[in-house]
Amino acid sequence: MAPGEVATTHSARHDGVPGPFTPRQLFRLDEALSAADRESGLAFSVYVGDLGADSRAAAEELLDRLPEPAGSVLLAVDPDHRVAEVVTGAVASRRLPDRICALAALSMTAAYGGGDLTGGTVTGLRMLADQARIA
Amino acid sequence: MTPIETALLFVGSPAAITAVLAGLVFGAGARRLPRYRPGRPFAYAPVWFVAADRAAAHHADGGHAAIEARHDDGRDRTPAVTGSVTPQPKGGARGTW
Repeated sequence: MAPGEVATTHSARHDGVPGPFTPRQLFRLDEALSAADRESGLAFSVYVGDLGADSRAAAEELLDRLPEPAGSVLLAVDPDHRVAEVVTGAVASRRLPDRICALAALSMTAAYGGGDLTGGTVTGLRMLADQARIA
Repeated sequence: MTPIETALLFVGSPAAITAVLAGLVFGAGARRLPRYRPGRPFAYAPVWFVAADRAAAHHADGGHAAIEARHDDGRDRTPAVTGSVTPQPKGGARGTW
């Protein structure tokens, strides 16, 4: 799958994408993504793959390719370079200050350091969605 | 017991039990996806996930239909121009491990 393509966890599960996630892990990711979207009203997405040397620029470019970059939050994880980027669009960053994103990134990398890609991503999604929750 | 029977009993049966146990241990592991371990190369194709209901909206023909579909669910959001790649100010954070 090319980096620009957008897969849902559903389609990945059904098409049998040879990814790092088992069907059970995909289900957990799917639930966390749907819950985060529903609770916050922001468009969350998760990218797992190569980001290159300039991970920040690559992650911001990925966010710009989404249909609604301003209201989107991207969690980009590069397991090869051991970097996780949280990118928030212009609208989303008003509800998710950088301080909150840094805290979520810290929790995520704690799990990634133990080899738990799914757990870290789900934790990050939950923390960010909790902060951006619609009152 | 003949020498052949003795050899079968004391060499053959432990070897058979060892083979069965090895099959159970390594056979199950070979079928499972190799787990990500920090520091080891990550040899998977990149994946990008969005929530399933939002992906359905993306695939609706035209950005208008997608925006309409989103207004229906009662959320207040700013519709962005689909396809534009004008960089906007962004926030966020980075973590390494």
